[in-house]
Order: sequence, then C-alpha cells, then structure tokens
Amino acid sequence: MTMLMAVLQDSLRLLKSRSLFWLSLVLSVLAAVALFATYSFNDQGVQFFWFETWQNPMLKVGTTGSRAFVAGIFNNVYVQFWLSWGALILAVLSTSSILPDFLGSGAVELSLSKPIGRVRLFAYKVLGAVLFVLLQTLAGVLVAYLVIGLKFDMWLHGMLWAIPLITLQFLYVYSFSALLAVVTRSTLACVIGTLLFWFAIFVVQFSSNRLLEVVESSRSIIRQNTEIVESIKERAASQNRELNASEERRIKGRNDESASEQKTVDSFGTWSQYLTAGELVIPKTNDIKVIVANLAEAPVGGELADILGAGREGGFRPPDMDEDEWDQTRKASDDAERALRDVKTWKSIGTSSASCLVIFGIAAFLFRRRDF
Amino acid sequence: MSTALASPSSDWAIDLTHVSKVYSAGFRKQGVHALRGIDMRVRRGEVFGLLGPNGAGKSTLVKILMTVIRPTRADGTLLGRPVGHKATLAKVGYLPEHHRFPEYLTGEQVVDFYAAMCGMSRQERRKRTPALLELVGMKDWGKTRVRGYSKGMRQRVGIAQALAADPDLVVLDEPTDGVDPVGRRDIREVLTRIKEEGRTVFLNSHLLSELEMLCDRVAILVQGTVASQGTIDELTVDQRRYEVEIDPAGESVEPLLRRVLPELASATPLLVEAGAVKAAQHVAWMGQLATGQKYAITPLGITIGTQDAAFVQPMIDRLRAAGVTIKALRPIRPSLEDLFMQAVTDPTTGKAMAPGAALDHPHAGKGDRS
Repeated sequence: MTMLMAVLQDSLRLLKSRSLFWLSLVLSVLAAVALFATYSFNDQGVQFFWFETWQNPMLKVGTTGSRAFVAGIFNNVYVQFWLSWGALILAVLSTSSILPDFLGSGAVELSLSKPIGRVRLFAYKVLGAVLFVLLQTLAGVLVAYLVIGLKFDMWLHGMLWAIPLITLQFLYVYSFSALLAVVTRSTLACVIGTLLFWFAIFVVQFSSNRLLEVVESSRSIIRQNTEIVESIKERAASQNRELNASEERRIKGRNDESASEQKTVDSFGTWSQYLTAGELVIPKTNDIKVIVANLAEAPVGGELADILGAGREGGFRPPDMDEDEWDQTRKASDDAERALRDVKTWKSIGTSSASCLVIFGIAAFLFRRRDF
Repeated sequence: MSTALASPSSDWAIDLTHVSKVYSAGFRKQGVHALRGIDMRVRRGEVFGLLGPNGAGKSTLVKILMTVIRPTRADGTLLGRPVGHKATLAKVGYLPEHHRFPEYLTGEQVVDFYAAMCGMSRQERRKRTPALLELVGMKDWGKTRVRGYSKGMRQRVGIAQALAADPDLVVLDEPTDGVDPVGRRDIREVLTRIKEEGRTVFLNSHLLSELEMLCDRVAILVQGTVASQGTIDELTVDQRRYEVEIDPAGESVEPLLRRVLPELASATPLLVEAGAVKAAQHVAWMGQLATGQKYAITPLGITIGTQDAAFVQPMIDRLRAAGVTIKALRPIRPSLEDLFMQAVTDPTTGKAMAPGAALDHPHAGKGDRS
C-alpha cells in the first residue's frame, strides 16, 4: 500500500506540474458552468442570461421537456463534445509522456531496483495516468451535477455515471499508448500512435453504425410496407371486393420499394454483420456516450431535436414527399436510431474491457521481460 | 524495514558465480556476450570497487544485481538471498549511472519517494530524509525542484536516495560522475561514513584514484570476465619493486652494473614478451636472481622485484664500494591505474584490448571483436 500511495502521489505531483492538466481542469469546470448556469426555465420557455427568452411550451419550468433538455445538453454537448473528445485528447497529449519518461534510461533503473514486481509497478503507473482523467471528469461532472441540481432543482443522479465511464473510455485508448510506450519508449510515437488507434476505432464504429442505420432503416421500410400492403388487402377483403386499380398500384409501388430495400439489406447486411463482429474485439469508445446517455436518461439526436421543436414536424419535409412517405421516413429513421442506441451496456463494457486488458497484458508482459 | 530480509548466515554481501549475459543483436540475432561467467565475492562491511574499460560489462553486472536486466545465468546471492529476489532489494540502495530523477520533484520528495518505494513508513521517511540531505550537503536545497540542480547536486541527492531505506548494501554506479573536485572529496567523505556505519559499498567507477583511496578490494572486469580481483596489496604484490637510480659517471649503465653486481651473472634470463616491453606499465624483467627476485636494468639503474628493503642493501653497498653514486632508492608500489592498464593490455600485442563485449563468433576470443 505504501508503494501504491507513493506512485499515486508521484503521479499527482507530475500532473500538478503540467500546465495542460490545469488548462483542462479549468476548461472542464468553465464548460460545465457555461452550459448549465447561463440559462433558466420560466413560464414561456428558456431564458438565456436575464434577457432573451426562447418561447417553447415544451421547455416551460417544471416540465419533463425541461429536464430532458438539460440532460440532453449534458450528454450531447458536454459529454459528447468535451469530456469524450476535447478533454480526452488533452488527456492523451498530457499523459502520453508518463510511461516513456518512466521507462527512459536513467529513470527506469531507479524504479526497477525497488522491491516491487514489474507488473505491479506497471499497473501502478497506469493508475497514475488514469488519475488525470478521473480528476478532470470528477471535477467537471460534479460541477455540472451541482449546478443543475442547485439551479434547476433537478438532481440527475444518472449523470454521475459519466465519471467512471469517461475514465474507462480513456483507459480503452490509453492501453494502446502503454503498449507503444513499452515498445518504443517514445512520447511522440505514443501520441501519434494513440490518436491513430483512436481514429481507427472511431472509423470502424462509425462505419458499423452507418451500415446498421442503413440496414435498419431499410428493414423498417420493408416492415411498414408489408403492414400497409396487408392493411390494403384486409380493407378490400372486409368490404368483400376486389382490389381496385389505385390499390393495386399502391401495392405494386410498396412491393417494388420493399424489393429495392431488400437489395440494400442483402448488400449491406453481411458487411454490417462483419463489422459488428469486428467491433466485439476492439475497445468501443463510441459506445460510452450512448451508455452515459442511457444511464443519464438523456435524449439523443432526433429526440433532442423534437424537444427543441426543431421538429421533424413538417419543417424539414421535402416538398415532393407526401405525408405518408414523410411518416414512413421518420419512423424508419426512429427505428434506425433506436437500433444505434440499443447498446448492450455490460456486453459493450465487458468486451471493450477485455480487449483493453489484453492490450495492457501484452504491454505488461513485454515490460516484464525487457532488459533496460 | 527489517534487516531480517537478508540472511544473517552469509558473510558475503555479494557472492556471485557463473553470472553470464548474452544479448541478441542485429538482424541475424548474433549473440553478444556481455558477461562470461563472472565469479565475484564482496564481504559485508567493505568498500568494493568494480572497474574496467567501457563495454567491459560493469553496468550490466550491476543491473543484473538490481534486477534491471535479466541474466542468462546467475548463480549466487545478494545479502544472502538468490540474485533476483525482489524483497531483498529493500535493503539495497542503488544509484544508477546517468540517473534521471523526475524534474518536478524537490530533493526532499526524491528521497521520500524512493524510500517509500522500498516500503518505508511515512514516519521513518520523515525522520531520515532531512538527515540524509544534511549528510550529502543538500540540506538547504531540499525544497528546490531537481530541475534547478547542477550535476553535482543531482549526484548528492542521488546518493541520499540510495541511502533512503537504510540499506545494508549500497551500489553506486559512477557516483562522482560530473562532480567537481570539492564535490568528489565530499562524496568520498560520505562514502567513508557509510562504510563506518557498517554498510557494504559496491562502487563502479572510472576514477581509479578515487577507488584506490576508498576501496578495500577491487575487481577488474575486461570483456565480460573478471581479469583480477582482491585487495590492492594482493593484486600488486608481484609488481612491487625497488628502483635504484645511479650516476654511471659516463659509463654505460648495463656493463657497469654487470661488473659491480656479480649476482646478475648467475641470474636466469627471462624471455621478454614483446607486448610487455611496449606496455609502459609493465616492468620488462630481464632475469631472475638465484634468490628468486626478478631484476631489470633500465637507463637509470636497476629495478629489483622485491618488497624487502633489506634485500637491496648489499647491492647498494657493493655499488657504493665500487664508487658508484646512488642518486635515489625508490620503493615502487604499482597504482590501481597500473593494475588496470595491465589488465586491459593484450600481452601479445602490447595494445589495449578492443573495447566492448565479445560477439558470438566461432573464432572470437578474448580481445577479438569482429
């Protein structure tokens, strides 16, 4: 325990000596204050500072809409853009040198010559790097939680899940940095390699999600067309009559559309399955924001747009699209979004953590065997 | 920390046999023999010096002791426990060569951190840290960050951190590297105090004069093997001699000496090695007297291989009786540097052996680095 405390205290001293740590910490707190302390809800909607009021009946004070709005801003802006991107990039930049410095000639000998096993020493150093993100996230999320609670009297306890989850997301990325540090002992290699690794994960997950979106949207359209065709046929049957020309045209149109969508499903479905299977073995950084949103009961994407009234209520409907088609498109879009949000929390965390542990394991194995 | 970690039954702080290390190098994974079967013993409480040319394997040996490098083979013990036994390292202080402390730490924090890494309690650390900084003359700089330290100050703090956990054995790799003469003298005093406290000191240094002043025993490492090992007296016993410098008064020295000293005529001539003649540190013994002592005639006079001043007196008497003026009588005790140079000189060529370790090559031998 003395050794663990010594390493953690050393990490804290290292972080305190870095300007990026303080910059990131201040930005985290400022962003939390800016996002949640600069507006309030009143009888008409949202009032920014003390002058501008955005009238919106769904956002009146005390409504579920206002609660969802705050949770949505927390997830879609604070978590998605700051904590899981901006702050994490700063964390990667700031922590990338920790292991290379520790493994550098003249430094590593001092630590390895102490009565502590190499694997344990390595784990302690990684924990020290994790402190960076833990402290950042803890400060930012706690400030956001308190501001929201005290200002709006909304105690969104689910938000607090962001603290361990964002830290976990950092660990996903940092595992690769640790591996590179052991292999190369170069900070530059760690920074560039880690960012590339993160980007590669993002590309795989992004491609997988887009394919899933396309496939689920097509499946939704096929399901809806099948229902529509069935309802047309049932209506004619209930009236004891043959299908008229207009109905036959509609059925033909729906069937043609379904056939076309089926081709899309056939084409992309297999790739989607491959990518989904591939996702199993990588740390899924993109899932974290969805898991946070689910646990914080925050609306995402279209749901938030609905609350804001930016509506899919006709405003964006293309002029050549009739009401039925528009409804169908919206439903397909909702189904696809639901599929994207259908992240199995424990499966995602479990498989990602396993991948992350494998990478850390390889790094620790190499560190244990290496001569310095 | 308890001294129970170390086995009290062993008289040896370090007792090594068959320590070897082969590195794989290059595309063809050619073996580089950094250490080739080191046998070495260091007594508890002594100051032991390890010396050798660059690439001889000194740092590799030290790193094996400190578990920084994994040996290919290492039998033997450190403080009575097998080499590589991690818990034993709690009683070993270590200052690596070219050490690099975290720049964001102060001197106090450096000592405190490395003591904590040895498992020392906070209470003990608080007590020891100021005392150690005072010992190394860094009391007034304890609260300054390492980034503001000079090389000498870093070395001093390095020695303090090596002593942080109250070690039985202190391993110092080039402790006076980059330190000015005053600093070196201070460090020597610190090391003397460490020895007086009963700790064993294992010193690895290039500064032979310092080792000579401090060490009870030394080992000279050449190309991964121990070339010689023992006290400086033991190692120099064969090289101690008396030089008698004469004034030949216009005569040639050798005929004069052979005329005046009849024992030279009955001496057995020795085969002079070409290399030995070239190596300035060697005495090119020309023959062995009937009484067993070797001799050499030099342009200044005669050198007799003996430590016994009385043995030389009759010779001087005979020279004086023959009217030869004795200009000087000098007892010569080879320095550690002489020993070192002798150890690293190839006797067949008289040149210093190639630096570095030996490659794994069928024809590679000592001094043959392809």
